[in-house]
Amino acid sequence: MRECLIIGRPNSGKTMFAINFAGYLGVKKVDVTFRTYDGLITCRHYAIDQAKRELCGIALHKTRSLQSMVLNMPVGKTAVKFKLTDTCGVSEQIHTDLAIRKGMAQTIGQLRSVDFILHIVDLSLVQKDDAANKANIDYEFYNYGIARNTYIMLGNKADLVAARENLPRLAAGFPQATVIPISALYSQGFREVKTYVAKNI
Amino acid sequence: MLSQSLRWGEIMAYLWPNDVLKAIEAGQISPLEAFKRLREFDNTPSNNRDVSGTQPGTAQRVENILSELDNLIGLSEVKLLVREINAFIEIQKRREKERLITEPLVLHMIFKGNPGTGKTTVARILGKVFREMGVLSRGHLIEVERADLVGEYIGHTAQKMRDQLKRAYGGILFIDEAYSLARGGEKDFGKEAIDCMVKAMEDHKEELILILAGYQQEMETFLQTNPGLRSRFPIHIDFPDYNKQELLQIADQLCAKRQYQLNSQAKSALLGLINPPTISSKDNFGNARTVRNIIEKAIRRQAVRLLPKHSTTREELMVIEPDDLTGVE
Repeated sequence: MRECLIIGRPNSGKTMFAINFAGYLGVKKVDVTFRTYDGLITCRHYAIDQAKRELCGIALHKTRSLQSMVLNMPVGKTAVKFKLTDTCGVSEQIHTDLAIRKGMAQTIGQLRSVDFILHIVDLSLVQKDDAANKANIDYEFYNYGIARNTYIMLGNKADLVAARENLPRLAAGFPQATVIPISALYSQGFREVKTYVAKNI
Repeated sequence: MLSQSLRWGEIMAYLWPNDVLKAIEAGQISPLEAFKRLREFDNTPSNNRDVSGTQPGTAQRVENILSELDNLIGLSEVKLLVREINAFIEIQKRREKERLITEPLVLHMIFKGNPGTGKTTVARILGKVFREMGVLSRGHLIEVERADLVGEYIGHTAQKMRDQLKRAYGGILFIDEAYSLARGGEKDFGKEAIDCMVKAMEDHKEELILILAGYQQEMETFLQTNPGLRSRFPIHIDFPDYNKQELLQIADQLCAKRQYQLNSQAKSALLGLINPPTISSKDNFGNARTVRNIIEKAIRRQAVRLLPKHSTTREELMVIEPDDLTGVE
């Protein structure tokens, strides 16, 4: 089974995207498999709304382990199963909390073995000088993804007016990437994402 | 803290990507720094990519697996063949770079030999070699026999065969005792399996290597009854029976792998035990497998011999004596 990994900074909307995307693909309930850095695997059954309530939050680093769901993607006349994995957000600095550091290491480790990468960027936080600044974790994700050639960039929070204006800036900063504006919260722009994912699984 | 981490990074050389991940966990380097390190491993920065399309480690890895093959006793024909294929693939890659016509490689094979002459072992190693060379995408080996391929009612066979083939794409499908597919006579479903197999090996020759294995005599008859088959398998390999010396070498190797030793008397006792069949006899002698069974039984008997002793030296624990071999069949 192919695995798609969702990566990005903390609080860019990875978990919200994962759950709403599952909902967009037509499931009412999801089985989320949590894989912690020490190898413990637990599975929980959520309704979509409940999952959003329990797994998403405003505080940074709500997700600290790999959370995978197996979803069906209609391709042609059949459905292909694929695994959508949500990860702990990665930031530039060394985090003080050991659990979060381990979560970040797990994300980077996982990144190297997956089939397709969905990189989520918070459009509302894109700065003018982002492209020039190479010491930027998004830039590293971008570089890695471009080299792997199985990568798309999702500009999240496109429902915000200020964010929408940042879209050309993001596209200019990461010229080789396919950038799709989405709103994870309101499930906007998911059709394009679905097309890309379907092509790559 | 960041500056300190950079210093750490400069001091420490990370040997494996996992070490880098451990360093992130320990707070020695930042994720940003980690990416830089990992890029060094991957050697994939956009300006520094390998133009030949092969990773620098590939040749080394192929060489490692080939040395695994070289370690097998005997089998000189197989070793030669694998080297040939290796060279061929390398040259095809170079030709491709010069935009010359490249041949798709058909590597379906037939292995003929008595039981225990290394057919399955060689097939497994080939799978690994071909994956590293880039001939196969996955390089796994699916081992099947008649019962996995032939169905119970009309139409069932093609379905079963197709399922097995689907599992094998990207790797090797190894059909053991392949002659049994043609054994059942006119109304047997085995024929249907062969038809399905022939179609798949033509249509999917880029992503599948089919290996038929079986005893020498039976395979010859099998190929004679299906005239189209022989030409579809460009590579035929005979696995000759091992002679006594080779079997002894195998025994030595098996012992060494388990950290045991045969002393000289035990070796001569072993030589007395193994009687390779003469060419005329149709004895189903197990070859290397028989030797393995003998050694394993001897190891158990050595354990029984040593158990009553209260203190044993390191050497005693390693040496297999002639007594351990007597009575072993």
